[in-house]
Amino acid sequence: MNDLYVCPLCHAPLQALHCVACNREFRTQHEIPDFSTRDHYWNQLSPEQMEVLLEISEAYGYRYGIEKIAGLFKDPYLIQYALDPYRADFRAILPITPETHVLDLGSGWGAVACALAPSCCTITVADTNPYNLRFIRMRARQSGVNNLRAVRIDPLDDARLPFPDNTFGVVLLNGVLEYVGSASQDVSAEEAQRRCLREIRRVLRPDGVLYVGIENRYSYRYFMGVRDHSSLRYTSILPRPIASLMTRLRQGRPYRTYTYSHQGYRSLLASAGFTPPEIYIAYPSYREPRFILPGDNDQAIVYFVRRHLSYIRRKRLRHLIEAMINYLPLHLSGRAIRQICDSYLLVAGAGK
Amino acid sequence: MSLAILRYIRRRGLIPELSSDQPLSVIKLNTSTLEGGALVSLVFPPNASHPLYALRVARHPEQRQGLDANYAALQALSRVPVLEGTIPRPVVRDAFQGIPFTVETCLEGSPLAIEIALADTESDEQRLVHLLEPVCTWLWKLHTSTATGEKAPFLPSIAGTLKYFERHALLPTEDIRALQSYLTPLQSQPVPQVYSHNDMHPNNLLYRPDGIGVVDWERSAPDSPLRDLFMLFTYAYLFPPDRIVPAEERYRSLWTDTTPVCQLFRSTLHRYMSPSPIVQDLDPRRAFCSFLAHTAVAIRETGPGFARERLPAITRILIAETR
Repeated sequence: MNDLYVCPLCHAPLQALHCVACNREFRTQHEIPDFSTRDHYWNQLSPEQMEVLLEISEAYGYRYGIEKIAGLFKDPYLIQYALDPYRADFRAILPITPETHVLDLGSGWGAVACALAPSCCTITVADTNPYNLRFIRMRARQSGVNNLRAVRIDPLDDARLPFPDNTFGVVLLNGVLEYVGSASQDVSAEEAQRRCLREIRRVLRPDGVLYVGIENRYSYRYFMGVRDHSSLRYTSILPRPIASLMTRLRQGRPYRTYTYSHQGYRSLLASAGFTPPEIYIAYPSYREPRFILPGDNDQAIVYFVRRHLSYIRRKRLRHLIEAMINYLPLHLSGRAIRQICDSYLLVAGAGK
Repeated sequence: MSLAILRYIRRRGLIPELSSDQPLSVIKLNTSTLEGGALVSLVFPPNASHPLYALRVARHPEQRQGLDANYAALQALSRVPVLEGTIPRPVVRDAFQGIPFTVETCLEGSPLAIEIALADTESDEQRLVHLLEPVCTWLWKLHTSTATGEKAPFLPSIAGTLKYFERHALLPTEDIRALQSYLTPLQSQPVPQVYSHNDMHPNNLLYRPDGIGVVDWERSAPDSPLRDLFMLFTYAYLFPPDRIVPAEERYRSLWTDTTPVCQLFRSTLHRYMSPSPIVQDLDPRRAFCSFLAHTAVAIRETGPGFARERLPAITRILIAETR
């Protein structure tokens, strides 16, 4: 498997995880190639909690481990987040076939990777957290998945992927891009995201596609006071300098978890060399894409909203949206829904 | 996957209406991932105000059982005149790069689940009856027109369900023993077989001013006619999570109360118990036990979360009522 990797720093081929070009040695930990060059830890659970979870999952199964242990340590939502196969339903809009090589960046608990594995040729999960990667390998083994490999990498801010050029048909960035920029300070958050996207484009095949699942910066939820990635209210919709001032005052750090409007995503992806993305609207959110709407088809958007209006329990909001789709011209209703929806799914070609 | 398959359909000219060069759009719907449920997308031809087709794609290449069952059911039932217009028409069955898919016509209507949720929010029980009555009538039509006259063992999956409850410690041992003692006699008495939809969840039922539509036949198979009926009331009346009256109370009320929904349930049940082509030969006690069995299976299929929270209370009510 080692010939599948290149040095993440100089992109030279590796010999037994040794880079002859820059003389750097990489390790294998728990049979997982480790290409990280600096310490970084992000997870819902602490390392100690993860050790307990891994031990129990090994003995009683990953599902038992998550249901009984992870739920105790953390919000019970984590159980659904870690186990729910619906989370991979964005596959409906991706060209994944039994010949496709998929890369899942920031793979978390492996819910997406393990659900997609039977549909593709190989799936590579890459994450900064070694405990999560061990968990995913165990999960795959227990689920009978044998086309999954796990790789530890540096945070995506550093744009150091240990894969050769033109390797993958599909790269997944599900709930990850917004955090790119928060693990480094050397460049602006937007530049860190662009740098990461360029690196992803490098490992994509010429006909490959990038999938991004992410929040809308101007989601109606943020206007209603829901906290965004900074854990503060309204920072998403405020101008960046003011948001940064707020986070510096309240948390002592700048605001660097950037999300964008759909035009913003188009610009960001274009500046990294991707083709203009197909934009979809995920409902209720990209984390749980039960419904996926074509973002550029006003008729389909309005059709869906009209059919599912009754799900909105708040009467005033329901009546407001009903009035909007009944009295506004179709293109304006579609545009309004597109501007304030919760999250987007973006599919962009490598454009090589 | 769905878009790549649509391009393939267009390239091969499998559906003439989709042959123009303008882009097609899809709405991916919410479908179950359990037991190999397919991905379902509604297909919007260019400039159409509503979708014309529903595309079903297997989530995994080897998971084609549900797809095949759905397509076979639509083919078989499209020849039944009384069901005309209430079920989709099958259009294409094929595979793209090893991924099986089918296309059927898209029925107009809003999911009954939404209408039920709205009626429930407003505590409008008359509205609920107005929604469920056409479904009961439709079920009767389906069952009477597809009755084979053959009989089969009663609900074979009940034994597995009780083992599942025991293995996951979802019920006290004495309750499981009580359930077994009520259900064992039923096992020895075969039930008449009809074509059963087997997934009468309100998400699979479409509400239309002129009637109903029924989709998602992936789990359809010859079965007891009561399975559909019990499943309908279990999912439409007892299970929805946002009810003001707890589900446990509703289990009791279904057999005793004089509210419109409870009366509808009992009158429909009596229809099945009266002499007919699909006579169940059930006395009320056996009907109750049968309901108990179907409910246990439905709870298992709903998932461990619900089962853990409500199964013990519901089972105790049912056991007490059965006595």
